[in-house]
Amino acid sequence: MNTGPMDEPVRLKTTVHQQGEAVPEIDVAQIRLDNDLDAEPEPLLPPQRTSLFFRLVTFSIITWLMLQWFQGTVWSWTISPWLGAGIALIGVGVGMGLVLLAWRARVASRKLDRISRLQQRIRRAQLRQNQPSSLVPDLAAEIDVLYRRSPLSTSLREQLAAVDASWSVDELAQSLNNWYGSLDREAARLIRRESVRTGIFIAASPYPALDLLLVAWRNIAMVERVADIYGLRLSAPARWHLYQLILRNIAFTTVTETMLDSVSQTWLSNILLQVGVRAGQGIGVALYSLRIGHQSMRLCRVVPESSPLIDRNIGKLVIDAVRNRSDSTG
Amino acid sequence: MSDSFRARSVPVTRIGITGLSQAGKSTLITSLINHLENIRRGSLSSHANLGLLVHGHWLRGGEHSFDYDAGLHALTNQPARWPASTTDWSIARIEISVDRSWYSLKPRKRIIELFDYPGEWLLDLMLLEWDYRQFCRSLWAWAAQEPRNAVGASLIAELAAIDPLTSVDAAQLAVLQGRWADFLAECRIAPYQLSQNLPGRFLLSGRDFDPAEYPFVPLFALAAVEGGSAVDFPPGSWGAVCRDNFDRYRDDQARPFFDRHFRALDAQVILIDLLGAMSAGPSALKDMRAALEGVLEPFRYQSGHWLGQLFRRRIRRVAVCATKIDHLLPDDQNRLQSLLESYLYETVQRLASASIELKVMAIAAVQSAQRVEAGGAGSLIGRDKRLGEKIHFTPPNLPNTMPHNLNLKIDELPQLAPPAGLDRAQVFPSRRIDQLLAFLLAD
Repeated sequence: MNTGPMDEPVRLKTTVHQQGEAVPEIDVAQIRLDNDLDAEPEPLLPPQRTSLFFRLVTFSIITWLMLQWFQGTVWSWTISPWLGAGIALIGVGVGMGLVLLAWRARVASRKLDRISRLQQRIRRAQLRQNQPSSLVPDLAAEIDVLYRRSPLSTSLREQLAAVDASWSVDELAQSLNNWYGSLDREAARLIRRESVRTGIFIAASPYPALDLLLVAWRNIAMVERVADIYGLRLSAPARWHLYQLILRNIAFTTVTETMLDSVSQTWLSNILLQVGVRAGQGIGVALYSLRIGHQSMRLCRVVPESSPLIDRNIGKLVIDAVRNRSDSTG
Repeated sequence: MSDSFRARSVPVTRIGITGLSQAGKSTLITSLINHLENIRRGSLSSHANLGLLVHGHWLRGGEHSFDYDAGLHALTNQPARWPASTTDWSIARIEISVDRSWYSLKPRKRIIELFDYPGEWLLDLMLLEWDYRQFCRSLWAWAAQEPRNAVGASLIAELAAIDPLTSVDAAQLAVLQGRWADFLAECRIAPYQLSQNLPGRFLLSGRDFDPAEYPFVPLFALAAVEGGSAVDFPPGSWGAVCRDNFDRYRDDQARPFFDRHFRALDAQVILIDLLGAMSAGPSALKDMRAALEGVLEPFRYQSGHWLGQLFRRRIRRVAVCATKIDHLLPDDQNRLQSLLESYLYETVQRLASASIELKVMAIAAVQSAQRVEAGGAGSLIGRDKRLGEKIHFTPPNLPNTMPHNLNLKIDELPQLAPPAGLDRAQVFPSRRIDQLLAFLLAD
């Protein structure tokens, strides 16, 4: 029979550190949290789903408004040319203002689109073996243009000054990660602080309506401050995307609030139970706030996340902090 | 309204799910149902292609229904264990609601059918094109290679010693058939983990098939293997009986199965245990690749060929998934994906010309290991399936590229049991199940 000569295979060894009861228990909740942190970031701007119906309605409303304005101008002109001119000017002013706002939103959204494209290009280039020599200088030039009007443009330009065609994409990513290091740390500190504060306030607050406002206010403020740290201005679509996450957080607060109400009525005397449920609600809100903050950080960096931007232990720290504070207040 | 009636009144997407030896079909199906049931809670809701799915509901009952309850029972049991292996075909039906259109008042409904069948049966695809002589010739080529020639040395020698022209001994044929089935079963499991095990129904017969009704074995004598068409077997001889029963098996069992079920498939998932094959060594890796090439071959047939018509009438997407990647650290999970692409490069290239979307992915249906970090180095903790003990280990670092001769072997990678604390009302922790569903349900 033909067995054929076979080279000795390359052996890949597993190292077993410990076995038995000394090994800590697996925590499914922690695996889920880890997966959340590792998950591919959601698209910076979700795909537009403008239906034909929506476009038709928008077009009709704009046409109707313009007709009203035109009729108003003609009607007022017949009364007094000054009044007609005034109304015409107001209309032109409002129109120009709207066009200006739309243009600014478009510029900011294109900036985010460019960040998204840059992240994809860097990720793809890191997976590829052979890269064209012009790739890294092109990427560096594009990043420079992106930050042209940002307060961080000078320090970024200094960081990119040494980049030339001899650099690999990995080196460029490493260099940018070094530059982002202090910003990442500052943003992570802010997110942790805000998440803990929001969680504790929800756990301790006796006013449900206030909870909703508080979650909205603190989360929106957190998103804005994270963008400030990275020297970027968020566009209207990006804001809306993040606010959708915040709305989900508010929805969670509302649902748990309703549950808490029913629990209070059923077991009103069990104070310990109420404290426990409140703490759970606070932890849930805090962890979701952490996720929103993490997503904001990813939105604002041109290089994809290579190591976790949020320390894995922060989840545990937030849980412990909210639990301890709610115990002491309860 | 009964589930079966509802199932007929809405569009159905049928996805075939199969896998080669211990790849985790039942676990994947249980996990897919769990993800679709919890559609708004897991990663599916944030996936760009699946954002329109609003609700999923498993339809209990129906003919040949997949036993989701048994899968849940196994995974949420204390201690948790993996669902039992697939032994017959079954269908899991999930009704999903898709966000309503702007002109409609109610959400659209769609039924997803996950058609589960043993991977061993899929391998029978290879013998549909063979006559008995080709069957003997192919199996002789496999049996002559390591490690089959060592595992079944005495059986192979006995089969080679039988003169196909002499009168058959029915009792001896039955014994040899049983021994051939045992030989296939031994080849299939660790430490060999070979994939090309034919005939598939000798290993897993299913409800409606009795191997004793189709007694045949491959005959390795020169007359059978190299005789060509010139030599004919006299009636009642070993060769004639085995040939006739082989033909009946091929035409009455294997072919009708594919004919009946594959016409309705929209997509096919083939699971492979690449890590298991890497643990078994180069022979298992080569055998598994050859098996995959064999089962993917029908997709390449031209439209005039009956197999080509069968496969390309509906199936537009095929996903080949390496499972159990949770046994590796995240960087190695990405490397395994690259290794898989390199491993199947030739097969993918061949299929590229056909109008089939083929995707190779590395997934984990249920994550059984938790990452821990100490001193900047990552490691994993889990529960060893065989010993039942908790284990803390660092899996091997995989190479960036697959050696062309597949000379790789992983030593001592533990096989883990599912984690405790899984709950039907929450999404099972998994890897890339959302990407798999997005690929399969892209329309």
